[in-house]
Amino acid sequence: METDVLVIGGGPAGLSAAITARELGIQQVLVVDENPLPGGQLIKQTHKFFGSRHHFCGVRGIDIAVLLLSRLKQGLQPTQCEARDNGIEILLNASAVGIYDYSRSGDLSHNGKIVSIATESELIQVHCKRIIVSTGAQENMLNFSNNDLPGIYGAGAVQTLVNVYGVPPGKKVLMVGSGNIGLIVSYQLMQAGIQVVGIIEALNKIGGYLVHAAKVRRLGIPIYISHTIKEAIGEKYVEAAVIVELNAQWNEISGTEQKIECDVICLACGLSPSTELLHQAGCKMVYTPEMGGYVAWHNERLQTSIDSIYVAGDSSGIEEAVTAILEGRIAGASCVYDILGSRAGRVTDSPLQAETIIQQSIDELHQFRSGPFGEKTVKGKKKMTNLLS
Amino acid sequence: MAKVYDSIVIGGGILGCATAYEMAKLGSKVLLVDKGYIGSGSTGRCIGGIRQQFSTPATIRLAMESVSIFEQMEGIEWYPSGYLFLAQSEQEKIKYLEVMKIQQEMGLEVEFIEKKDVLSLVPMLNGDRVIGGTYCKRDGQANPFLVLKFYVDGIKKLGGKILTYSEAIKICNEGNFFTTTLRDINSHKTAEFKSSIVVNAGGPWLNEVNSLIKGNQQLPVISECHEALITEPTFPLFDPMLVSYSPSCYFQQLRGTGQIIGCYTPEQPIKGIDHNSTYNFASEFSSRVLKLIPGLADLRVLRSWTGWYEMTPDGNPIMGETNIKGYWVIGGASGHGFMFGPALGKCLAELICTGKACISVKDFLLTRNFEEKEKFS
Ligand SMILES: Cc1cc2nc3c(=O)[nH]c(=O)nc-3n(C[C@H](O)[C@H](O)[C@H](O)COP(=O)(O)OP(=O)(O)OC[C@H]3O[C@@H](n4cnc5c(N)ncnc54)[C@H](O)[C@@H]3O)c2cc1C
Ligand SMILES: Cc1cc2nc3c(=O)[nH]c(=O)nc-3n(C[C@H](O)[C@H](O)[C@H](O)COP(=O)(O)OP(=O)(O)OC[C@H]3O[C@@H](n4cnc5c(N)ncnc54)[C@H](O)[C@@H]3O)c2cc1C
Repeated sequence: METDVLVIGGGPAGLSAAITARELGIQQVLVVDENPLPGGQLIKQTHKFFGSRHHFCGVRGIDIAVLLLSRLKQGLQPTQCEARDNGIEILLNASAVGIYDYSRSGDLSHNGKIVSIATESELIQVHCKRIIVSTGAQENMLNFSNNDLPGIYGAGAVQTLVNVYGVPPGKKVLMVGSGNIGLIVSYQLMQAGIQVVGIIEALNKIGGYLVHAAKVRRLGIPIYISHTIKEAIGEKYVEAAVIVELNAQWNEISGTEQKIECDVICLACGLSPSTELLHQAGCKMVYTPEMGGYVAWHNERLQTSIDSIYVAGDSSGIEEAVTAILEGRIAGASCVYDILGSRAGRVTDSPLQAETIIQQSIDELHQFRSGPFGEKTVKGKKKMTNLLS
Repeated sequence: MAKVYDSIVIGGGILGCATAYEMAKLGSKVLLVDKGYIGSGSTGRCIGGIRQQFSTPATIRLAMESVSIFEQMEGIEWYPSGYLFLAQSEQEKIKYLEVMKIQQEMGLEVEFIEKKDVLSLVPMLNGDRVIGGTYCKRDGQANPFLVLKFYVDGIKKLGGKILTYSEAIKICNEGNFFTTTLRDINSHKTAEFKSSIVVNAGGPWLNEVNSLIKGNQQLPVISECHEALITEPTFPLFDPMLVSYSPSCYFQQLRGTGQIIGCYTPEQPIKGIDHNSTYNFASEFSSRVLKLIPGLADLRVLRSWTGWYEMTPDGNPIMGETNIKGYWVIGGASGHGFMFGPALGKCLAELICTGKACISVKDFLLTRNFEEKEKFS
């Protein structure tokens, strides 16, 4: 298979990148996603999103996904692999597993890449000029005894079960982590008629936004701050959890253990960018805790240390849907600028338009991040820039 | 003030580690340095195969000596899984039988086995074209990382010092002393170390290290890229390393983890020190393996990577003192550094410290005639 731009990951970042690249006149754009449905995290978000007014504030996540997808193509049927007449193809149930050079360094006749994509039955080879890696994030695991008992889930899995497939993970859930995800998922579980027996938080304050915390408090869910999980109890599956209080140094205070009965332990303790592909491709990686761990070094145009590879969304540093969409626009436009702008003698105003979109979106990102919640990202991105310069 | 050691060994691959360990055992106060971590060069990228089926008396003897050292090392996942060279034509069989005679004369327990014995060793093998094979059951495998760890622990126990992420950037030769400047890769700080002996075990970078010393001639070694691939673990399926010339590839199942690991030699040599792995290798290697063992088709590939063979004109290693007194080299193992390492390092240490090696190494000295080629490269 051949394509101009390959987008890996069909979340808000990837979809927005594909739309932008296509709008700016790139002939072929291919989006691959490992899920049966495109939309990334959005398709499991039944709540109304926070964000700025002209960026979907107050719209439910799932509806944002629908909006993006319809912009991609009216009446999209998310079937297997379908050639689209508008030049965008979406390949579902397909994981990108490796990024390779056309040929070994030295031979400059091709500067494109080969990406191998595993579908259920075969390995597909995609030749492309530019790659946008918008693979999102993965959940962090916690160490405690028995943490492999059935009944212990990441918050993403719980959300997928409940919101996408309508399957309850259990009857009584202990939520670990009071960030926005922990709070929102707790609320959604209660909405679905599943009891949340408590939310524990290792910090000495609630991590997420106050609006979300207030909602779960009103439902009577106890929040235990300065507490962590010590152990899961159960023979074949979770029957209870032992939690323990932490002192200011995050050490367990012995004697404060309490047993909480539950059949699900839901872990919502942060996300790390999904960067394996970038690492494997040979991008320079930098460690920035502010962005959730290792990320591929990138500039303001979201280009990594490898010219033909761009990043966007949570895989470039953990943030939000709005920033993912803006980053997608920047990455999509940067690819166009690169591909068309470098073709000497070509009469087109696309590169110019692309540059305008890049600058506008960079400005919007700055504005969006200038609030208190953007502080961390700004610090992280600055740190990243300094690390390699 | 420069710190003083008896000897400085540059390069923490199998050759540098083995040499430093054996020198420490012989009483030398050694400093071993690597610009990355121990094993960051070729050694950490090799597939851990150890064989004695070579075509010249010198290499057979060296490999046999190595195996007897591997057998004594503890905690390295040494396993005598054997090497099986598949004969798939009468010509191949004739070539193998010729070389086997030399091997047997050297006392190596090697035999030509018929097709049915090949199939009983590797029941899943597609035997359509196989007519037999040469098999040495005392060949084997070991875990390169654990072998390096064995040496590192030993060097430390014997009072030697190891510096990682320290690159040798300058070596001054002043009378009886060398002053080696090391640069810390992270902090860029430099420090000087004095020694009367410098050993260059720079692997693929042998000539780069060599050029740090003025007045020395270029070494007859070039680096070539070789890729390897490893699968997920599976049940124990077969023991020996399989070497095939059509399709050309060699692979084995690791005893420790159950993973299948292997490589093939590119038809056209790819010169240089490139890190990138290619799609072409991963798919081509897989299809070659499947031609031989179709039953592996459902096994998933974990990763593939590129490493480097340090090639000499005759395919045999180089070792010994250069035209500069006190400056020694060891390298050019031409794809066999892991299996030769323990013996080659021991011999060099003995040459340096006592003036005489336990086995004859004249065929590996820099002064040899490089025209005679190893047949089983
Ligand atoms: C519970 C919860 C609540 C949230 N609430 C809000 C909110 O109110 N407001 C807000 O702005 N943000 C919110 N977010 C955050 C927002 O959902 C994410 O920041 C956003 O989805 C990131 O978009 P993305 O495109 O970078 O990644 P994702 O949405 O994670 O999409 C990445 C996609 O790539 C796929 N993928 C990964 N690797 C591969 C591969 N190798 N091959 C093929 N496909 C691959 C993944 O399966 C996934 O579908 C919330 C998140 C959660 C979990
Ligand atoms: C894919 C593949 C499979 C292989 N399979 C086998 C096998 O099955 N059996 C076998 O016997 N052999 C095998 N080999 C060959 C084997 O890996 C090499 O021959 C062997 O590792 C060479 O060891 P070395 O110590 O000479 O080099 P290396 O292991 O490369 O060590 C050299 C070290 O020197 C360091 N260095 C270089 N310059 C400097 C400097 N200026 N300052 C400080 N440090 C420096 C490097 O960082 C490096 O760690 C394989 C090789 C490859 C690539």
